[in-house]
Amino acid sequence: MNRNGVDFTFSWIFAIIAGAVILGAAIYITTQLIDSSDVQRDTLVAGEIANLLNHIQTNLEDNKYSVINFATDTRVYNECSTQGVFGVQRLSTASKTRNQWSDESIRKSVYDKYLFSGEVEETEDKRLHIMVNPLVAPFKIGDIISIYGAKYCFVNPSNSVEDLINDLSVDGKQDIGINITTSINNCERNVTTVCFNRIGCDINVNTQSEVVTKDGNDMYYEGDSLMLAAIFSDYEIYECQISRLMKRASELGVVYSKKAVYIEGSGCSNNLVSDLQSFVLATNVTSSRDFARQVMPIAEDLERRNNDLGSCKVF
Amino acid sequence: MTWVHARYSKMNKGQFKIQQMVFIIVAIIILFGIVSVFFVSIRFSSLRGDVEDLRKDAVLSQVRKIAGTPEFNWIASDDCSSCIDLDKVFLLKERNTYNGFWTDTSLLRVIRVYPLHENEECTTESYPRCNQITLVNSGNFEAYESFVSLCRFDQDIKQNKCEIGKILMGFDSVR
Repeated sequence: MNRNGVDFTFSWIFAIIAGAVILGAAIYITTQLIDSSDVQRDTLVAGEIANLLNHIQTNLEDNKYSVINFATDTRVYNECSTQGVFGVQRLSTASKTRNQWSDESIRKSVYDKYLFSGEVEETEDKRLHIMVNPLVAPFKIGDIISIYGAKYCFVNPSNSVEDLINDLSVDGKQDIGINITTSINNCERNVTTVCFNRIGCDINVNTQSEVVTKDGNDMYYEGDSLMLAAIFSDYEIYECQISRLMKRASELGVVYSKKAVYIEGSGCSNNLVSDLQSFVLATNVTSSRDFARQVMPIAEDLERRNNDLGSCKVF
Repeated sequence: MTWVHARYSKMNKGQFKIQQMVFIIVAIIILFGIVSVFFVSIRFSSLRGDVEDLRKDAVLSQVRKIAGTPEFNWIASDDCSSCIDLDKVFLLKERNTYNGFWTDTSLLRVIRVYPLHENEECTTESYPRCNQITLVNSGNFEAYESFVSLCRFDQDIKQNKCEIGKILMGFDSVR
């Protein structure tokens, strides 16, 4: 009787332990599979965003606006690095499922795109706004791609900025996430306010010295496209992308200086070789301030001289 | 003697039960293993398909848009979105810094369609009397093409000249 009792207990203990281990392993594996399936889906979304950026890049256009609609609330992680010849843009996403954010997906690396945004950009109403403008200094260097989810209120912007916003929003018929007003009091609550030539907003723009001040950091710009990029960007992202754009400008400058030599040999005199070489040297910048103060004057001079060349234009 | 025999047979029964249990557990684990392998293979094949679709889409979108990128665009004319600067593309070929610049691309080639010359691949000696400039060529690929105008300054006629060409882009399929 006693022996039977021991035997019964041992079998049950053995079965319970083995069953618990198998059940535990099954639950663990299932949880891991669900997590990895979330990461897999978010990685594909990051890849799709990178592909979308190809579709919306500019050719002959000055500006482009587009909106990405997501199936769920999504965070886009923007990571910028200046390492390597062109630096690298890394893109990843996370989505909100079962009321919690999934882990950050595997990052997609691209070398020819320049995303200006916060380090983490979150969708609002499951959508992100994208504004694309080419950076021409003095030749096209790349597309400035500004991405933002939050709403902005521009207080007293310059006429050129107002025209640009009106163009992109088709005179207010399309919601591009930016409202224009004459007083900060007219701005809705919970929107990011942007003041032009005055202080008191979340972001302040000084159009005289061409500086955007955000979170106590100064970002220098040249032209409305870079001004908008600075408004939508975090300081670190903005400075990094400017450095990356200058790296590409340097490589393109080398190609154009070789082209200048080549077409000069074909009987097309241009005298731009030494200036292009100076431009290449000047592009070795570490901040947006150097870009605005050091590179742009040379670029403007080069553009003027190139335009005078008629059919022998180098760029 | 009777007691020893009883104990021996009781131990056998216990061992048999444990053995039985172990067999069932092993069978369950094998079943789980087979189901897992089946599930993982299905997931990997769908993942492979997704990655291949992404790469294909990347190449298709790039081949349509590459004429507008700074490395290819022809700036002398303000109204030609499909014109590429052949001189610039040829000079790019000599720049090793561009290795790996075009992501997901295992083939990037500019081909002259008309008029054709004797030389196939362009070299410093044969340019511009040659038919193709290869910027990227690595391994197997599935390629797509887009027709463009190949523009350059022509030494003989002393003005800009455009000819018919195409851009060929390929992506590496997932192995």
